[in-house]
Amino acid sequence: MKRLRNRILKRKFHLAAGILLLLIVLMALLAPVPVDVDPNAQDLPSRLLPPAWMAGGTREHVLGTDHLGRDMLARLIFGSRVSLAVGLLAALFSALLGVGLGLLAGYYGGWVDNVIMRLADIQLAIPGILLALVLVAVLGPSFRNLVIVLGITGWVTYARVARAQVLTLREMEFVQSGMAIGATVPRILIFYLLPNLWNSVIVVLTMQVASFIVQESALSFLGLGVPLTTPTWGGMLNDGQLFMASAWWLATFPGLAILITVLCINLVGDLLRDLLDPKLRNM
Amino acid sequence: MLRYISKRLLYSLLVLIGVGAVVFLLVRLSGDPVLLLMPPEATNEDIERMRHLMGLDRPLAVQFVVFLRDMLQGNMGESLRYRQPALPLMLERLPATLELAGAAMAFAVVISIPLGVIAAVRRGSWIDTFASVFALIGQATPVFWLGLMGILLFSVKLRWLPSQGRGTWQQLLMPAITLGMFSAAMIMRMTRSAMLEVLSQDYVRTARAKGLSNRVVIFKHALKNAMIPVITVLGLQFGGLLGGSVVTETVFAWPGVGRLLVQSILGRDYPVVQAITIGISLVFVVINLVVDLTYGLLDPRVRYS
Repeated sequence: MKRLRNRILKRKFHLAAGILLLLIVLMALLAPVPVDVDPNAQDLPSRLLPPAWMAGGTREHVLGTDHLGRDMLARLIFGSRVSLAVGLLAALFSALLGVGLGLLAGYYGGWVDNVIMRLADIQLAIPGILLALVLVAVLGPSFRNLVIVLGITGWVTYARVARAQVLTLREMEFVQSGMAIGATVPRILIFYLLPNLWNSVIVVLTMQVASFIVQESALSFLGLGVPLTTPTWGGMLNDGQLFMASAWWLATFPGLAILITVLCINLVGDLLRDLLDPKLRNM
Repeated sequence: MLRYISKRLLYSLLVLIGVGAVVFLLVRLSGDPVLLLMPPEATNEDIERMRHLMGLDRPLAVQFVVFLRDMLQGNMGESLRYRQPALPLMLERLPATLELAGAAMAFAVVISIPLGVIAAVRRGSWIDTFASVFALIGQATPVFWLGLMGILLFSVKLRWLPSQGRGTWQQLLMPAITLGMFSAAMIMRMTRSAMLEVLSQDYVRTARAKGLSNRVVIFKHALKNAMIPVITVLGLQFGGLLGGSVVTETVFAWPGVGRLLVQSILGRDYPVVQAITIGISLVFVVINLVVDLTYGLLDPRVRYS
């Protein structure tokens, strides 16, 4: 335990990223506490106000206002809720799907394995964002559908990792003895195999949350994310695109928010990987 | 070798038929295409007649066989918006997308492989640190935001580069760099770690012990072997570039397949969506096939069996 603590403390940079990430998550959870401003409140007379440190900026709107006079900071904070929630829920959903299918493929082998892994090959032939776009178009854009769509696009990595580990695990004595004493298949899968997969799953999950946050923002940017009434980072960038020449802050801050959040998650993911499962280094 | 190639070809064909099946199901899930086609004042009889004309009153299995036959013959239906066959519509835009993805790939390779090699050779130096920071930021930056920031700086503020369109190299520069940045970061990381691994191998030590110059050891002995995993990543990244081009093309108003796809999705033009999904997958499958076959040239240990 002490060694583990030392190993974490030695990597100050990663640790700082973890703390920053915690702050971002706290801010999203506590909203609207730090900035008690309605992110959808329009105030046309004070539209396109620059950030407070620039000429013409006011302290009421620290990061300025958008083309409808809405407070940028409040929108950024509320936007973080959508990004983090979609990223996390979609990654969990795709872990459920992928680990489940990977367990089955690795345990049963034969045609079950064949069907599942060929399905994975077919899906990998369609670039993820393309599949996500088509799925959103089919299901219709909403918060729930975004989670489902991203979840479906991401299961393959988990399935491959889970399958590869099950293939070695199932030959090990503790699993063989479990089978010998007549443990049912679900019992073997859930109580014998699954606990050995946690480390890899957590590492893949962390990395995937980051990539889903980017994909969610891309979908929102294209107008295929959650409905426009909810502030999102991608949606804000879409608005900002129209005011590039007059108001640089509209398109700059939401992107910075994505960049910082994703960077922190990736760094935490690196740290988790090195601690939990260094084999995944090249995934 | 020939047997391996034909086996891989057959498998690629099966994957494509699988992609076709997925697209077929998705488009059927999205609601009744007949209702989309007909004006709101159409009577039930009109709708039934149209359904019959389009073959949509036949059993699903029959529809699927017909769909596959048409797909393999390159017939992917007619665009609802342009009233033209969907496949030529897509093929018309494909060169623009391939140009963009190709330029992005070229940029990524030119930046990332030398940087990765130097970072590995000079491990722990400032250039290695720079490479790590580059990789971290490159992997965390959303493509479309990078594009917007590029426009903000180089088009709005400095007025050096045009912000949209296609035709001149100035117009290609910013979209290509934007799109290639993420891949550059990935390939750099892969090159660095592959190089580090190869440099610790016995044969590299032997080569050094023989008194070969550092340059010969790095470029002739180490780099060639380090390229094997990098080539795999290149193949995968190209798929990512094709996907990323959807967003990049929208930001820079680049007249490619990606922009057509977004427009078709927003306009519910399903035959075009269908043609593009299958077309892009075909390009991706072919590239991965080529990557697989290239292995043997780089690594004689790979046996085609």
